[in-house]
Amino acid sequence: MSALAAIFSASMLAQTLGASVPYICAAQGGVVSERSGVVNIALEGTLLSGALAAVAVAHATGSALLGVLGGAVAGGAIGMLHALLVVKGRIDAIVSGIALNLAAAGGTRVVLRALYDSSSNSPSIEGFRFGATGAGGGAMLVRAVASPLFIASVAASIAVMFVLARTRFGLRLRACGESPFAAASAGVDVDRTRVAAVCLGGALAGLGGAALSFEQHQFQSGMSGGRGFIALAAVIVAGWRPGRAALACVAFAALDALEGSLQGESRALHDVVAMLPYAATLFALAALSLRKGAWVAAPPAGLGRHPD
Amino acid sequence: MDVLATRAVTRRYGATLAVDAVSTCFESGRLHAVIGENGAGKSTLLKLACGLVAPDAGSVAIDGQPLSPHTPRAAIARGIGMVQQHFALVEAMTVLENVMLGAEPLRGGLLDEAEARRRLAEVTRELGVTLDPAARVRELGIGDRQRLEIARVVYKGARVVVLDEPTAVLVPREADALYEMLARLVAAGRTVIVVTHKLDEVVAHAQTVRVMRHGQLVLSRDVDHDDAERELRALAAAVMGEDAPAQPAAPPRACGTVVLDLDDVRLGRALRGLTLKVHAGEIVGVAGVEGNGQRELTRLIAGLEHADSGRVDVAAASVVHEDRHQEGLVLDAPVADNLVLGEHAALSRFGVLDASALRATAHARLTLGAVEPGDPSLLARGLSGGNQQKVVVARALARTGDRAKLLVAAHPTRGVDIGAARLIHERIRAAASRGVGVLVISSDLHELRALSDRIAVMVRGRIAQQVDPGATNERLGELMLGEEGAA
Repeated sequence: MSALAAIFSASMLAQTLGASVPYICAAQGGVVSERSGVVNIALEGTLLSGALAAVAVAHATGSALLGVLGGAVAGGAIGMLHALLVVKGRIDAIVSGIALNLAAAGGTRVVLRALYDSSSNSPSIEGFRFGATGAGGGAMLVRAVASPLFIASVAASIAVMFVLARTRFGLRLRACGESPFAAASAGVDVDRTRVAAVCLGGALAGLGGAALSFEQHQFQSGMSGGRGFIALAAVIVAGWRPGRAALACVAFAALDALEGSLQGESRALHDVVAMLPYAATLFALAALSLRKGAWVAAPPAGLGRHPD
Repeated sequence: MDVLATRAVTRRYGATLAVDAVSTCFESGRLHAVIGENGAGKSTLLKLACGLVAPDAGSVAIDGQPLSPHTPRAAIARGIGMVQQHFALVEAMTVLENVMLGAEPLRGGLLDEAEARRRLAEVTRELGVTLDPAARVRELGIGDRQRLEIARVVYKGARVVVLDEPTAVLVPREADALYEMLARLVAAGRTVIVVTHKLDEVVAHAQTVRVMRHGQLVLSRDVDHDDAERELRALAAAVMGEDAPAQPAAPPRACGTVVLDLDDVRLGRALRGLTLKVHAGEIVGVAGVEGNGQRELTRLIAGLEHADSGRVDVAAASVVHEDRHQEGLVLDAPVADNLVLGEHAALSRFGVLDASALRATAHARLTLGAVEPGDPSLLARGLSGGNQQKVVVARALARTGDRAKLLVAAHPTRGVDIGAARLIHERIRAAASRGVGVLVISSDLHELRALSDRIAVMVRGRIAQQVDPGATNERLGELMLGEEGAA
């Protein structure tokens, strides 16, 4: 099979959609957090923690659904921590984010060692059992689209769009992100709104972590591999809009899938392709900063600012 | 019936009594004006009344019941709404979203935009204005933004609408439209309170007037509409206070070389053909109602703005800016660094900051400015407003002499206590006697009279006239209102 045919195959599309789930969930978490005005680079650590929590709960209870829930709760907890540090403690959001990412990297290793006496990976879990069996491209595609976590990521994207545009919480969240001073003057409790938003965003990213480890059927140390940062880049490229962020995530995921499909190829080619998501992120951000076209949205005007 | 009343409310900022035991009642269904000079406490009084600022003593009553807790939320719930001088709108959102924010109508848990639109239409009908609910705020002009702010306050059920300096940002035609709108609110049974320093508006539109001076309510009565001229003069006198006898004449100073020479300078809409000279060794005061180009004049001399046309000749200048937070201080840096801001290179050896030289300089300047507490390691943010001002003034004063031949001091004693103000005045006089040319821009006529060799009156971006510092308040007031604009 030629490389070109491999790229435009059904199995490739299936792998892309599968790989996009963690990105999409983390990006929606980023949108919710940053539209409320809180910079969230802790997405990376949130993904990683969610991934471990999901596996640990699924392994202990034997229930994939509970595992996913565990991932979301762990993510929400990290979001809550970030929110309390930044919103209530007035700690710089970048500092808090770096600290949480480092803590997640170290903490997951400690938990891994404590629970499974391993420094590299957890025992394997089954994850969700569903849909068509078989190794053909079509069957893979059906499995990818019918995957509960893929459906959840699409639903999350639509829900974020809907909540931001049509609910009171969404309106207040956007107001806090655009002008915390104006929101506070209108009687909105800016701190409480932001804590709720960052917590919710963390839960979404935690959901993405669950997708990450369920895809591999186990947790591996450091398995987030920069996906949280790439998701954040997707948010920025998409101008902080949830729908576009999801599409940008699919594009990044395609490069991920490309790497997977070239497992058998030469070492050098594989390494170059493995670099692509990161290179593409840099390229997209650089290109974005150069062109100030109509579709390039400015960040929320109150991003990183406190109401007083 | 008094809808809003203050009972001996007091508020201090540092050592300054911004509002000093003021008791007053606002009757419902009228248009009230509160006037006074800058720093007289008029804005603070209304912020106290609207719950935005908590009183140190005294209380606020709405419909005879005390406002408790003393928060804007509680005041809004009781029907008191304030439109602040700096608009609090979310620029990226629509008119409708801004109106709803904080008081969103819901249906089935979702925003009920149709209901919000219907209620906004009701409000705009009462106000007699049109506002496109779908327009984004960033696309709106200043007048529309103000109408939106007022509509929002009414939408939220305000029976009392308080506006802080609403016409400061408007051109005269818009100001007339604003008062028409306010009259409709009053006709609909609401109460309107306007804080302003434009006396002609008060005489033309307000039913009652209250005058604040040095934190105290010095006059409270109905506006006399029979003789506008006489009323204007009476209010101007009340605002400025019956003056103490003129200061002992300062010994005439030898006028040296010209250190500031502005000739027909134009800058946007702020400066419109301004001509002014300052000689070495003399103190020139600039009087004028705020917003007549003083800020731009300061920024022009400091080199922060460039003139569109005209000649600008400035000797090396040392500047005290109007807004100490915007232009004067790095609030999150230590006092020591603030005292030598811009001179770090001179205090370095081989590119490394000389800590002991920095400390010595900072200490000397702390003493020069009588800054309390005299600890250079504190953050500037931690000082009271008055002491922050002393830091800015001490820095500017220390630079005069060998380096700066011109000192520009905008409101040099704003927010500082009397003792410190006297000290600052002494230092400014000392600088002049050392041959520094000084330009003092102030809205405090006492200060100008105490310092200046001559007073230049600034109106609408020009120097309307230059007068002797012995001129009466009434005469200066007339000039400041532009009644004898032709120089």
